[in-house]
Amino acid sequence: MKRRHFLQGLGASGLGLSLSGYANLARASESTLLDPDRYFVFVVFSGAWDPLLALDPRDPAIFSNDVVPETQIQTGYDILDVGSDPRVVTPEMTFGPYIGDLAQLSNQLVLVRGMSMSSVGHSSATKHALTAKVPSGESVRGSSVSTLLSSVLGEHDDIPSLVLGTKSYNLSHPLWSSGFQSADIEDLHAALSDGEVALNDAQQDALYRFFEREKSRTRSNQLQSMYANRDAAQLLLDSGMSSLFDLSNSSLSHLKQHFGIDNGVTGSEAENALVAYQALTNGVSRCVTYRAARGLDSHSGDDWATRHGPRLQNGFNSVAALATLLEDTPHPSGGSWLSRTTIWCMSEFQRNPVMNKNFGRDHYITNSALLLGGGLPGGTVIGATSDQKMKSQKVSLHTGLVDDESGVYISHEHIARTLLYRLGIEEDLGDYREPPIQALL
Amino acid sequence: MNTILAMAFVAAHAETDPSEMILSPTEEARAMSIQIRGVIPTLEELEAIESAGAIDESLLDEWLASSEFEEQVVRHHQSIFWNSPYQNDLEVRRVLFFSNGLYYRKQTSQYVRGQSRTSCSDWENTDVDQWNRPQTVLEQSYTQNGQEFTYLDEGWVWVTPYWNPTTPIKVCAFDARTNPISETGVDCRTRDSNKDSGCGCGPNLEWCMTRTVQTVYKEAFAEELSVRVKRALSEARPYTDILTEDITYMNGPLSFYYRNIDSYVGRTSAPAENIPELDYFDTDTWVAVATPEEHSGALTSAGWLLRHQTNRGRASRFYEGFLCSTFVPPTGGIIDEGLSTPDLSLKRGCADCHARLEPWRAYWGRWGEVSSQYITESDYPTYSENCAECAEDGGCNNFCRNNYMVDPIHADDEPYIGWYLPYVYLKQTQSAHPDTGPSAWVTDVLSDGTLAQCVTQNAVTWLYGWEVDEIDPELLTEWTRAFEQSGYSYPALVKTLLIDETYGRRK
Amino acid sequence: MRPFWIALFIGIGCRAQDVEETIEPPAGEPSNEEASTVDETVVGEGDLEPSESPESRARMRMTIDQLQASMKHITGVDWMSGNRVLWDEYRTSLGVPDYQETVNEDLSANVIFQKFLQDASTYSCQEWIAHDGSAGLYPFFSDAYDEGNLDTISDNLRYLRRLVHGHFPVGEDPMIQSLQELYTLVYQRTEDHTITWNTVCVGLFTHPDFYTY
Repeated sequence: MKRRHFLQGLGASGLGLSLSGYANLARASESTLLDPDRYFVFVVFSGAWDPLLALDPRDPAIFSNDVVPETQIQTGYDILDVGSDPRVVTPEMTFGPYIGDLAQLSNQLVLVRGMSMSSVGHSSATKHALTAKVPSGESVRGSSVSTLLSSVLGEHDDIPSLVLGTKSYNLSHPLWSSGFQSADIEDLHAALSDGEVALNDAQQDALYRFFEREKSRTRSNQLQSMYANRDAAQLLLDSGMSSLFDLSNSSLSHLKQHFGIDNGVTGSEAENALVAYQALTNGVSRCVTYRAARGLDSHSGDDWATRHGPRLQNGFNSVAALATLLEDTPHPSGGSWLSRTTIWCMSEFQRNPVMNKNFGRDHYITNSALLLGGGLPGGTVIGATSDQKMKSQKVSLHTGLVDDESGVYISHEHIARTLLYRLGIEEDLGDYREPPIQALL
Repeated sequence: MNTILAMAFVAAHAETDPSEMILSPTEEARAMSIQIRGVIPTLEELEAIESAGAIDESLLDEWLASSEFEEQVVRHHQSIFWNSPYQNDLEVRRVLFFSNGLYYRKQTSQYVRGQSRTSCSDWENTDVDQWNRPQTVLEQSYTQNGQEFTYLDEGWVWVTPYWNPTTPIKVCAFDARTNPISETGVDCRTRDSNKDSGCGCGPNLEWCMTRTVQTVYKEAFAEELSVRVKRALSEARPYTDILTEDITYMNGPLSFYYRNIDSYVGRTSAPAENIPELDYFDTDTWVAVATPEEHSGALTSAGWLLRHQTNRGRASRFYEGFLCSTFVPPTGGIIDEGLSTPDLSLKRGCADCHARLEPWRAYWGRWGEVSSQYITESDYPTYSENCAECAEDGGCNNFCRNNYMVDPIHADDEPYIGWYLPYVYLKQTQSAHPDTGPSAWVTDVLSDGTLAQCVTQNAVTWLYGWEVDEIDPELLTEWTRAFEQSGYSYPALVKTLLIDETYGRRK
Repeated sequence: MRPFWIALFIGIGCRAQDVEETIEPPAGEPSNEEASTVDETVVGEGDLEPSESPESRARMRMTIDQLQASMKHITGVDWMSGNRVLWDEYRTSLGVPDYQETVNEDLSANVIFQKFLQDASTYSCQEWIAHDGSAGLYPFFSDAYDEGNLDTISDNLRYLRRLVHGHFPVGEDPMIQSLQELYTLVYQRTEDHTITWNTVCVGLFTHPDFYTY
């Protein structure tokens, strides 16, 4: 059974007729796409990253401990076992010591620095990052950007939006574009495989008919969604795609080797990146969101000094491994998969540039982001933090340079809007209410 | 809202949901049982209700008095407390890591072996004294990047750990030492020993823990919050006791922790006396222990303090979880502009939230951050002459630099030179907040009714499944009043909501 | 506060009137094949704007713990693989919070929930029928369960509907007909009572009437 059949089957409910207006409008937007073969990966560093360790470093000779009272920036490099000046300098940009393999792709990266956040609470700030809309308290005010983009691009994909290890939101978009949320590759594989005790075809067919009858007896949107999700689960089971995510499958051994899985160095972030590669290149998903690091909330000195950097580096290494493999994989419509896949690395906010008295770092309202692929102008740095307390600064959206006079403070909304523009969609589909970053168009 | 989203909204809501229904008594009883007992009713219970045509009030009372109800209330409160302390805050230097079949302390290796993160080698050292102190130690070396490094290698000894008394394990001999005093005279039962080369983990490794054992302690701290909720229910005490009582609860692991490990951590606030002598393995026995008056129930428990690591985080969680309010950022995000005042309660772009948050975070001002230790006036005076003087003269030591206002960067800092940092920027009316602790805030919000209203609102969203903005303010006021009049009886509040006719209708 | 349905004293407060008012949507004709209509989408579950103050509570999904306990309460078994409880194994994917990264349980009946619910149901039903099914009031196994004795089958279906869904219908219960058809369809194709009742059991546990309230 194909998804199309299943979705059309919903007509019996009486629900869909009223939705046809939305469907037509969605198709109208789709017709304006510059190129429908576009894909997205959202990479979440959970717990709030320290930009001094990777995306927004400082020269320790200038920002020494002696001048911390003036600069309000404490690199902390002297506490780490990373050398006196551990910065990684490339022709395009300079990174902190834990950027990992991603530094080698600097000519393809877009760094956005000095972003302004809305909250330093993990929960609400994460919702802001994923939806690119400031939540109202703890209530999200928009769908995840991945859900929105999936609704535009992924109607014919099996799992338009795949989400590993983090959350996804769908407020107003078609149910099929909701994030399929799994904790990790093992659970994803299990969700796409028959259970240990499985039903035979006769049972499944009879149950399908039983639930079709039950569905026809209700006009509740909520119950319709439940029945639709039940059908979707069955369809995914029938799709036979579980082997794509089976780490014991010998055909995945070259991928496991590429991502460093089983070498004892990487963790679930590498497996998540492998899932992203498989889901995109096998036509399973249009958008993949995965968690590349957790436990970054390093208020304590032990945690910051011993775990924060390595966790960041593992996450960035997973992104680098994914990007290089996508670049090496030709897309059927031409170019590499990386040229058609935009990767957006995000964290909810950043850590404080001044250490607390435990030599950990508390929360801070500024932030950075990292983008690559999808034809973005690599080797670009948008914006900057100030040299006093790493504050957000206004940025010219046209040049990407700091512009205190006529610039604006950049946030997640600008990046989300930029992604839409790059698809050829100028209409503010996500209600982000911010313009795109022209320098990236 | 743009056109497409507007259309989508209309489409999604154009048809009213026709399936709203009045539930039968059995359906309603099923819902109640799931919510307050965590399981569907028995068929016998349902048949009795069906036969009677109604739910007997005594049955509901019976359910509300059950341990299953306590468990459901606990789970509801987990989403308010967020019962999950940060494990890493439990002193990593007391953690024995396991590598190549050997247990050793990674974080103290630099002090005892002369190289960081270095284990002993795999050879049994039988030449140890009565305190397990190795008498034979090898000097090893290795070359890295052309440079030679040396370290001490003491081998391992067999030790039977307290967490598994039937199975001896191989422990690097330096870490297996049991001597109470080091060669340099440091008391091996104090925090100073964390950096002393002459102390180990004590008899049966009682002064240390593995990662797994650390998890046992972490989970016990988390469960202690739940025990507070259960005790308030089972002892029919007012709900507000959860937030105000001067009591902590200890089970076997926690009593062991407080007796043996807390002194090293310096991060948990153990009651000075009356720690019960419970067996480490006794996880189910919880003993109430009186705490000093600075405590304020759950809000100063280790489970709360180690989950919400900063004082702003603590105040913010209380504001959201128990006052049902959130800090809403200004449109356009929060911008920290220019060189304006460092006082966040005044600073443009910050004051919207911090004018309220700063005095509230001060309620936890004498509770250590990333810690659950109470910081006394004698150890950290509110005002330090010494720190004030060194701020003038220069040359402040780390104690002053880390804890006191000694480096003013703005005119607003000047009046606070020499003050303990939690007191800095507090206005006169707020300056007592660190000393009164969060119990004073609880008293305030209890008297103005906001706490009771939020507890009621939380119960409504739990039992009715409503979003906050779906709640009728008049109904909320009515239910809150009933809760207050019951003497803050939580079972009474739940009962009020369950027997309201609203509960019997379902969308 | 409504005074009428809690029987403050035995014999007072019968709610038969209210029960009569229960709204059941008309049972539509079962769709034999997928209908060829134009609608294509179900919209996400959230609301964009607050609705008006409701006079009724929301239909809610059980938490994973409630689901696990309720299924075990009926079948007597946990969803297991070897000595692993799979409800615990898949907790994170099923949206159970850890109170570090997530602090609220995801109570949507989403796709992965549906998949694991079906797996749990299939396992639990098999174990239930294999071990305890014959101990109930209406045993799963009976010589009377042949094609000619629909009344007995219907009785058992009604019993299971009460047991699993807690549903005590006033008048005709339209789901019984659906369950009968489910039973008949499976039995016709398998001629195996165990497989047939297993299917009915899975249908009941994976129905919203079980996992919502």
